[in-house]
Amino acid sequence: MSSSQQPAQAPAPVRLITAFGSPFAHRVEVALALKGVPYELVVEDLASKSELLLAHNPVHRSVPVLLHGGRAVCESLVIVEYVDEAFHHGAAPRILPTDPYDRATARFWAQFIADKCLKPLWLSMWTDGEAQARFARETKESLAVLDAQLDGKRFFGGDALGFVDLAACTLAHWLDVLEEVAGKRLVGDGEYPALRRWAKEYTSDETVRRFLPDRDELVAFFAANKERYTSMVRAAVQRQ
Amino acid sequence: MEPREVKLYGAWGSAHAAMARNALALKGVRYEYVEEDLDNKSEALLRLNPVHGKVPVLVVDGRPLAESFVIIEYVDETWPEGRGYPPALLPREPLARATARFWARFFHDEVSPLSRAVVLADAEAERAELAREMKARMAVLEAGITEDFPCGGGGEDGPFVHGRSPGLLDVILGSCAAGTRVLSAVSGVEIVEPGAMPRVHASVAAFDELVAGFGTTVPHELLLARLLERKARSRAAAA
Repeated sequence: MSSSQQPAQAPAPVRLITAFGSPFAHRVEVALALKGVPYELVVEDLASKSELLLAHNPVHRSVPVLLHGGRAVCESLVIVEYVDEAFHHGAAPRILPTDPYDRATARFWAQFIADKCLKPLWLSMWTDGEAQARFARETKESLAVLDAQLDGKRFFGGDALGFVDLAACTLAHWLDVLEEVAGKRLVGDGEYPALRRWAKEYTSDETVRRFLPDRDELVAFFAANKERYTSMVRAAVQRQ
Repeated sequence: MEPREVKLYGAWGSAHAAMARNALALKGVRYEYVEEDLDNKSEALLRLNPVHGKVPVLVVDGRPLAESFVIIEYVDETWPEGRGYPPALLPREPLARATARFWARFFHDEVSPLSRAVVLADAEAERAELAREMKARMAVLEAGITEDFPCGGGGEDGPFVHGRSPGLLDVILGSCAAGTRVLSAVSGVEIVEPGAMPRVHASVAAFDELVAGFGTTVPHELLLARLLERKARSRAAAA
């Protein structure tokens, strides 16, 4: 994706290594779009990783990876903060708030979502029996906390979309896809009304909409990888 | 701008609480300290951190903040070098900041969970295996730091990871050092081996010296005894 408008002093080119269906890559694409940053997309086939990816993210070998001026930034929320800081200009919206206390609050919730929500959610989808019940319970408890935290707000940070919303994006567009593919219903009818409302707000945002993968394609993608996820998660749980 | 009232809820022996205390001390912030008994948490702590119920909790003009890394960044932004406070804990340049955050996250996600596992493991062989795994991950951190923070280390710009003054990674590694030494003791595996991890070792050694006057260090024997006692009690409770 390139922009027809380049600033007078052309900045170092930006490339984003991504893969279809990744909510983590989605976060970064939305961040770049919010800041109006032109970039080139490099789409990986994670079943056959490129030298570019392995060279620039040797530690995790995962997407997204942002390449800026030959240097790499890894970990989606770290990249989002980087984008917020490195590409900010007068007219652009802030992804993190400017007030230190509000920034700290946003970082707290992003960490909560990553550690207490998304991690057990993923594990609950690809396990069974007692382990599954435990992960599902932890996820639901966290969803209840998030639901309460929204407290009638349009987005987690208030009226404008921001850092915490990006951190929670999986819950807006990927959760029911995972439920369908895994055949496990985590969210019951009428549960977490604030979160449901937020999900609609999030997915209908004019910037976010451009970077939401097609739902049917997502279902097909996750279904095709279901066995791989199940065996990976089984191994991870056994090590715990 | 800077909050008038600063209070920190912590617990001796908690590495995360030590991170918060050390960050405040490095910035010269005056604060009221509340020592929590983790086996008998105060109503105040549970009210201020309802989500996790854990230390540390930083309370600034009555408003709470939790999570050690979040607190470190908040302290850095609220008492900034630009307004005459001690040197920044996070680098100035966005790419360097991102790199620091990346390795902080690596430590949190890949190294810290193993430290809990080492303590909880019953068999010595299991503890040793987990400690070796932890050492291997620390080696990745060492290699990453060496590549991404070339100015620091034993040379002119050392001894901290971030350079001549401590930064985010030094606060994290340094505050975990006492706990790591206990893990080495209970597993028989030297996790931070000076020869194998010169950068981490130099950072930790310098940090130990720096914080000697902060009141945040815990004697090794006490910490070891405390961890073993808590483990025995949790096993008895589960039985």
